[in-house]
Amino acid sequence: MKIPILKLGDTLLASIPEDLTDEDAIHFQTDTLEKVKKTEAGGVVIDITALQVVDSFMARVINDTANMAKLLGAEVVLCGMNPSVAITLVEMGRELIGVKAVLNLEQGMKALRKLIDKK
Amino acid sequence: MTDTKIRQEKITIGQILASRQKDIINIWLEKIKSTSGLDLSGQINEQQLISQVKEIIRKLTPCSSSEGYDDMAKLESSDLVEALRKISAFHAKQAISPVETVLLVFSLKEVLLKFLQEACGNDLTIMNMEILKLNRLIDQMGLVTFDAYTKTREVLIAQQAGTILELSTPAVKLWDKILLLPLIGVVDTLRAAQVIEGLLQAISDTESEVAILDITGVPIIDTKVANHLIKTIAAAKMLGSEVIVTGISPDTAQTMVKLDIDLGAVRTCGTLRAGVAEAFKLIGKKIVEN
Amino acid sequence: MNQITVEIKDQKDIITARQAVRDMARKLGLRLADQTRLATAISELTRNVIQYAGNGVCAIRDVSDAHVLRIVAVIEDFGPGILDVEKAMTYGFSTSKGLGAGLPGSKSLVQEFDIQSKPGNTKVTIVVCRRRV
Repeated sequence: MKIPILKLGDTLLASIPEDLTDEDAIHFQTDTLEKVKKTEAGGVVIDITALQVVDSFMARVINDTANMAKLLGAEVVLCGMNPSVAITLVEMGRELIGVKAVLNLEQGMKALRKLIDKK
Repeated sequence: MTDTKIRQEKITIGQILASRQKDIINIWLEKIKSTSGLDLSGQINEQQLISQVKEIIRKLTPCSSSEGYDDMAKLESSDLVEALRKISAFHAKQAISPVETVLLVFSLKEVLLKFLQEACGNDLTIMNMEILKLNRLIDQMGLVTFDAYTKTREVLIAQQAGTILELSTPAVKLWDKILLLPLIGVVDTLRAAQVIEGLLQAISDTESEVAILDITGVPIIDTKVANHLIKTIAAAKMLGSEVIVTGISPDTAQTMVKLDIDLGAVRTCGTLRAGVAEAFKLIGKKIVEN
Repeated sequence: MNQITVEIKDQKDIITARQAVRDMARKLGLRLADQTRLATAISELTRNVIQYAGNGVCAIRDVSDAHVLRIVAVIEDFGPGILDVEKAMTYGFSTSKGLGAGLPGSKSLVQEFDIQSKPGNTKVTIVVCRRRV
């Protein structure tokens, strides 16, 4: 399953669908990074609104993707985490570290804009 | 000349119960109805009472048949104790008073005493011994009943307290993007998870960027409570919300430092007022005098 | 709705297993956060099966009674086993490049956790139980 990554100006938007296989998750990571490079995007919004379950593997993929994108010079914002998912990650000891998180897509785009403009 | 009948077999309550069961049950039921201070009519129906009485007699019979039947250790692990606990728990749930519950058990004493006296006849030595044993047995039954009752009551109270805790932590939308969450009551582990989940859901539902967690109403802040707070804050951050903890009293501050509780990089304010001002700052607004 | 068994043969089964358990949990009336916790634990544990053993089985059972909602899940495989279970249960331990088998993480999400492992057989049993409100 290929995850569509949309280009909006100098930013990218990737919405992760529910129930991704591990393979798809890794593809998503690779695709995102390639597109960041190709479009010279200033930032990426990763939207996880659809995710009802985020286990340690998925958490790792998300965290790594964000950190890798930053290495490529792009800002990253995460939006739409489910409250239940948030608690579960904290209880498991797998909180996302170093990734700016916001509640929804609108806030995500705004926050990303701010981060990009700051640079 | 009075005949001193020599008893061939040792008299035990169990024997008496076994041989006169029906009579004992009926007389006990009568006794219950006529005991002052014991009015169960509104809270338990006739059938249930009869079945409870029968159950006690049934379970009492085997364990009061052996020689040392008032041996407390033996009593502890018996079916009788289990039966008393169940009955007691039922009473507690029906809000029958603890005194009445225990009176029910004690009222059996007089009933059995009469039968015991009958069985012992003129043999005063044996009768005294048995009366002593009977007393001990019934007293112990009463204690077990009371203990079970209070334990059930405690569970019920804890459940009710939890309900009260939930009802008293309403989330208040202070301003656009600012949520006020007053935590009230004892945050015990049982309910903590639910409280935290409720808080986070409120943050998500109202799409608040700042959540003011006011702990003025939380009487005890120990390591456990602090851990709950830390968890809540970490989760809120992933939802995109900053948390400000307010309402830390000087006492609480002392306790927290003494217990080495480190809330980490969490914003804290002594007063709600300061917290609100901080919250506005975070969303880029300022309260100005006109 | 008493028991569901999912064979764990490939990645897709991880998803099947967690969907199944979430479904059961939801139907039983467990609140959302608990559904998520349980599904996440199942996801972790079935992924272990794929990663360390290649295949296995996940059996989920509803053993609720009048007072308590209770789900038991047993995740079993016939792989090489975990040499040092105690070590695996401490954070930060990992035999492969990942962050470890996620065992302590899974444990913190459930009420009861048991693991038996020897070469040729690993069995993890987890229980989620909540008093009925």
